Amino acid sequence: MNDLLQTQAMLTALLQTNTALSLALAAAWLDPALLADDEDEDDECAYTLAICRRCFPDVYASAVHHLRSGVSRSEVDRVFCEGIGRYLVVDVQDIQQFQYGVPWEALGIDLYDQEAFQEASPRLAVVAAWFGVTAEDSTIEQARRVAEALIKSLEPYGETGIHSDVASLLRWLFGLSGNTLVDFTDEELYESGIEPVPWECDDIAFINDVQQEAYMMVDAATRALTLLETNADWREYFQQNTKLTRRNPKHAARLDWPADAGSGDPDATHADA
Amino acid sequence: MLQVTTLDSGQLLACLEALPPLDLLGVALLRQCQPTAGGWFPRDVPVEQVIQATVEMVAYGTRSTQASQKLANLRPVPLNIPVVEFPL
Repeated sequence: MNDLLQTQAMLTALLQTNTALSLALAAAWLDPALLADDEDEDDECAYTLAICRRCFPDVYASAVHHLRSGVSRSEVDRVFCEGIGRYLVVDVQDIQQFQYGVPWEALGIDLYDQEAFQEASPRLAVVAAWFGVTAEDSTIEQARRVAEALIKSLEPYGETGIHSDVASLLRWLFGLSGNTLVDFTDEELYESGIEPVPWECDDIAFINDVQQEAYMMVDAATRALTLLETNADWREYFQQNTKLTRRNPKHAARLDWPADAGSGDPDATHADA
Repeated sequence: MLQVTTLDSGQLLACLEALPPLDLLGVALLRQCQPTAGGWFPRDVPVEQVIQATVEMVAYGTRSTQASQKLANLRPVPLNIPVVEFPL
């Protein structure tokens, strides 16, 4: 060992004899972003590292370890995406997403762009057609009022089961759920000037809850869509009830719906039964 | 006559300095594992231990920062005020 290396080894040993210097050495080893400027959004890696340090310390630790090991930048990006992804409901594919706040996925339907709607959601377009939805704004507003009345008639059947699923389908299709990620498309949310969700533990938990609820609602809606496609009885009731309510919204208070085969509840044939 | 027991900033500092050093895993690992020649940090520590030590170090750093901010804005706190009417 040459003199230079010997001197460095001696310095390292001496650093460890002092409590404060030993702590500083450990911090420099394990927590190099301690004094970094976490507002530098131009440096994707440093910015993501700061997010992890604040919200996901285990991901931060893993990323620092990989950076020290000299792995490729793409490998570090993978560590970030996989690590942070474990804490989010929505999938993350690219480190660039992190700069725009906590990511979310809007699942809303834009009925006003009929051409795109029919191309992207042909199954939903069939249901929308039963409500007389066309490119005219007035038909959408009218259909929304009919959907509200139908949802009201389904609510007495409970918060679970197929009636609830059908209500979810109507809420999703006409943007009536009250959940922002179910009611709006990505484009609508960006155009509304929504602020990026900050990377804070409470905000992450909030977005996760909203996203989880959004996925559950859309799952329920998809179940109902499949039911309407495969069960002639339900489809007939749905179409008939829609027609009656379109003709006279007051009919919605007296609508019959088929029983939920899964619930086995004989009283579920009518809300007032 | 009002008698107030006080603790000035010098005494507070001495009090804090008298605290024993916290037993941090990162510091212990540095002592146990020798760095490679020409390096400052050890390289042969298992990943799980490094991650555990980092999580602990970050939490310690956060707590320390919060504590120092609180101490920097500490208002005088009377320790003993023998005023009989005070509880009333």
